Amino acid sequence: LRSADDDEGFRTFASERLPHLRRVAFLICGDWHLADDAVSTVLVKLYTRWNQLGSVRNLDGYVRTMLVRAVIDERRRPWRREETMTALPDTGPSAGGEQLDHLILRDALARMPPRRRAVLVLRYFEGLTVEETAQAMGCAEGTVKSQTARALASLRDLLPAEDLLLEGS
Amino acid sequence: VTERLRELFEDLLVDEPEPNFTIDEVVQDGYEEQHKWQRRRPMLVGVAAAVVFLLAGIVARSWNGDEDLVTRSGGWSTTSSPTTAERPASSTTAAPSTTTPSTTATSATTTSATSATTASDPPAGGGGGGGGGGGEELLPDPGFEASPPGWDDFGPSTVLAVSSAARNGRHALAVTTRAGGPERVVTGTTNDPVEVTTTSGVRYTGTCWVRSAQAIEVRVQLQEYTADWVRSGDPTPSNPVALSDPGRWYQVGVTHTGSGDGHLLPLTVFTDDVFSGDAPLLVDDCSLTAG
Repeated sequence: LRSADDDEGFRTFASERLPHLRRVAFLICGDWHLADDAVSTVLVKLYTRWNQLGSVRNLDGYVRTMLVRAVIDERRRPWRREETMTALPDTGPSAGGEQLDHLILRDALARMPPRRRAVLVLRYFEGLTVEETAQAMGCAEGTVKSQTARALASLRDLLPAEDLLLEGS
Repeated sequence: VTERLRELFEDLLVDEPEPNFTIDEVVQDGYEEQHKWQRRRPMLVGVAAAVVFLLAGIVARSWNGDEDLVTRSGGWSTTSSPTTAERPASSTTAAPSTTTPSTTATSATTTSATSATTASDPPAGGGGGGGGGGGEELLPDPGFEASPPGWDDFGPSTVLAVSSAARNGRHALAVTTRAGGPERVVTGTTNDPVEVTTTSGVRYTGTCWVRSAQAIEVRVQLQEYTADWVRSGDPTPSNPVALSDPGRWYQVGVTHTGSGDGHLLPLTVFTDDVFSGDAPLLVDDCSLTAG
């Protein structure tokens, strides 16, 4: 039966994590609408399982794995490979170095395969370890490392060296 | 060192809009999701008598229509004559159906190999239930009759519901989406839990019967995953089948040859032509067989 207390626990958790989950989803897919779709799908699923989650020790990790699957899996099917980053905020033309980096990163992210983009977001936006990233992505740690290296290499090529000293990270 | 990258990510978030949903809506949707199968049950009991009464007529009518498709789908994996010769009744009904455009025919032509072993193994059986006559049915809930259901959503905004507009049995699955477009979003269903594990080199045939009030295109696909759910290789999708006649069930199928041993093999049926508010994609009598 539905208990008000359980709902309360879910509501607190969901409201607390909502902004962060949306940002992670957005950075991976580049579209706020799709990000909202993915996050609401994940939260609805989480609600239906909320009472069976007693044994899940790392709830954030569990939700993150669900979210990454929801965002990437549907978007990397072969016929969905059209440009995904079209809806990123358009800040307009600007000559400032700050703005330029912004645009360069946006383009670089748009050109990356979704899984590589997700690795980058999880590691450098969420600040996860290689192990945690591998868990969220459902892949081996070696894959996370090689995807990170490739992503950083492509960024390093694009950004001025003095701005992005990513060697050895 | 990595601070710079984090700052750049945060720059990308400057124009963050308000969410297009609330936690209240999530709780509401979640509650309905949790209870939709139970809620439907008393209602279905109530109309059971009417359904049973109508079923005889519907089955009798769809039987003839199905027969055409089965014969033509037989042509997909069996180019040899013995199979069709064994079913003279089917081949006679097939003659008038050749006027139908071939694009609407069953489309599992993505793999072309036709060996003698598969030729004697018609995937749709004799036109009865899902995979009656072929190999053993590998799906635990091929006809969407189980509770809880053996199917989960596929696609970020997919909504699944039970439908009584069944092709066989009491239920079909109605697949809709919350995605409003204009961008196309994949909407469909995939069987869950997955109990099928592959054997390298074995041919797997997945089929579903689909219907819609709108002229949408539908595909099925098979995708291998390792035991811990990492994708192995690319998915094998079927060609799209156009559901041009709203009153008719179409069969869509695909064959996939196992590339590894012990891989999980879910069957997925999906479209990217459905948007929020559109007529649902109805799915019934799916089948997954080996050999």
